[in-house]
Amino acid sequence: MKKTFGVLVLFFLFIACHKADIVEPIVEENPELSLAVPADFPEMNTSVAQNKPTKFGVALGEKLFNEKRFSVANTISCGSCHQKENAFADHHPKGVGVYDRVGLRNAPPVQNMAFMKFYNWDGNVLQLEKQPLVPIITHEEMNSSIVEVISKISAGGEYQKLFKKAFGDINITPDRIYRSIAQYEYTLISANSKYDKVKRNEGEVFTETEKRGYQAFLNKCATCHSTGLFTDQSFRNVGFPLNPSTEEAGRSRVTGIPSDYRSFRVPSLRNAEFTAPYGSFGQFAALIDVLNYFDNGVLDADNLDPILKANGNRIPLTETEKHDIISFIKTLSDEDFVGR
Amino acid sequence: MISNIRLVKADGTEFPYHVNDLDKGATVVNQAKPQTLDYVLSNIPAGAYKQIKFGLGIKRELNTLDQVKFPKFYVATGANDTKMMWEWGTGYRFTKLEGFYEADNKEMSIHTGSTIEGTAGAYTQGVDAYREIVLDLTTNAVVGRKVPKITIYADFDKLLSGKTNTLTLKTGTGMGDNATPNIHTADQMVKFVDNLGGDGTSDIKGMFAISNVEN
Repeated sequence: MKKTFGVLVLFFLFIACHKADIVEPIVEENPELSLAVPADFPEMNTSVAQNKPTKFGVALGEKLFNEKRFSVANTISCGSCHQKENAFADHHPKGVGVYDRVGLRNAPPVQNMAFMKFYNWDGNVLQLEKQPLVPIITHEEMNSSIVEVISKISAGGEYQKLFKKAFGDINITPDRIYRSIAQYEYTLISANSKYDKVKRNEGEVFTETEKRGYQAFLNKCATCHSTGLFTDQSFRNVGFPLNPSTEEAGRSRVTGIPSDYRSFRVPSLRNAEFTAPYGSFGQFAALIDVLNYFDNGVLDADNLDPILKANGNRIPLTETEKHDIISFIKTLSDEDFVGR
Repeated sequence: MISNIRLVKADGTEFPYHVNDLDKGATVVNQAKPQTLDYVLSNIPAGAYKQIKFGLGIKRELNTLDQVKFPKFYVATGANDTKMMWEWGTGYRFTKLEGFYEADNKEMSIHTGSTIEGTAGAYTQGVDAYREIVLDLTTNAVVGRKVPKITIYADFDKLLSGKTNTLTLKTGTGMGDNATPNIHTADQMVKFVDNLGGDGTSDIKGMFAISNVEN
């Protein structure tokens, strides 16, 4: 019996060798990954269709995302500020780059990017593929250049293999770096929180506090923090304390529209539990501080959001409501996503 | 920052000078470096030229900080004494004026650059700070056995007292404050752009004028 089995194996090996002689060198298949659209999420950014995530594109992107040689001193990767356990954000008020240089704004979480129309606090980037170069060259972030990055990661030959698997040949190009990082980020979808499970009737139920919090949220927060992303992706001046930097103008830095002055993209509330501090430059240490601020009254401005203006520049909230809303926001925490 | 140079012959035909190659056809004119005030155009076809056109800034298609395609220009603009890159806009700074103003020497820092997104005719957001300058030569520049020299005068008085806008510098962090350290809003920036480079319609000269053509 044993002998017969051995003969069979040999026979197959022979066939395999024979085939290899006549066909092209084997290229490992690199299947496209399908991205599911969670319930109530908006349509995908049209750029995703131009850069569909593939198995090896995403794997390469993840490795590059965590590549510290992107920074001039080999100390900072994308993942240094965008930490998985914090929903790909961090706990610094403002981004901290090479040599502890401090940037202008709070590092935003990298989640559900495939479904967003605008990136960054001021929406200057509309295509995710155009973002990776910005931190690479910015003085307060990585302070490097794309040619320097390519030169560093080309050493050793390891990356060439990964680029070949992802893109078909060993060439390491800027475009492929940007595309693979974006592919990886497109796969970072968070839609498996308690809230999602409740909505999908998967057996989980809200506690009484969470239920009241959800109602209060719908009444007082959901106009801006809408859809399954918990942001309507609009830019609003909500009268938060002002960044003292004279570089900061919010959305109007990009658009040149006066009514966009000091307006910022409404942030998603998903995984907010993990992304303190809050605000465009980390003005608020905790969620309760944000709610207290809205309750006490915000800074006035010509272009203050009309909803706030109509309500005396505040969102009145009782102490119970604040407590309940925070309980509800915590149901948006996705433990699977952050790996906790 | 000057690019997209075109020389117009007496018969109206245009000679584009490396208009799609920033390494060969674009330059940073830096008042702090006198050697950058002269820019030599080589291999120009012989003939008489009546007009010069150029871009103040970089046209949208090339304004991407492409270090691989244009390594020389990337180095020239990223150099520590120049810093003509606008990192967050992933484009170049088109003009940069830094100094002090008024008796108490308040800081002034005016940078211009584009934030435009989308394709021509269908821009989705942002402002276009690139301007096309068209200057008629005072007399035809004759390229042949001799090398003509065109002197272009840039009048920085136009920064505040331009054809399009009359501006007053203001320090602060408010919407209208326009002096430090960068202009806060693209809205304020465009007023300077229109003064320096013209508004693209009624003014296509901005601060520039031909002061002399030497054959």
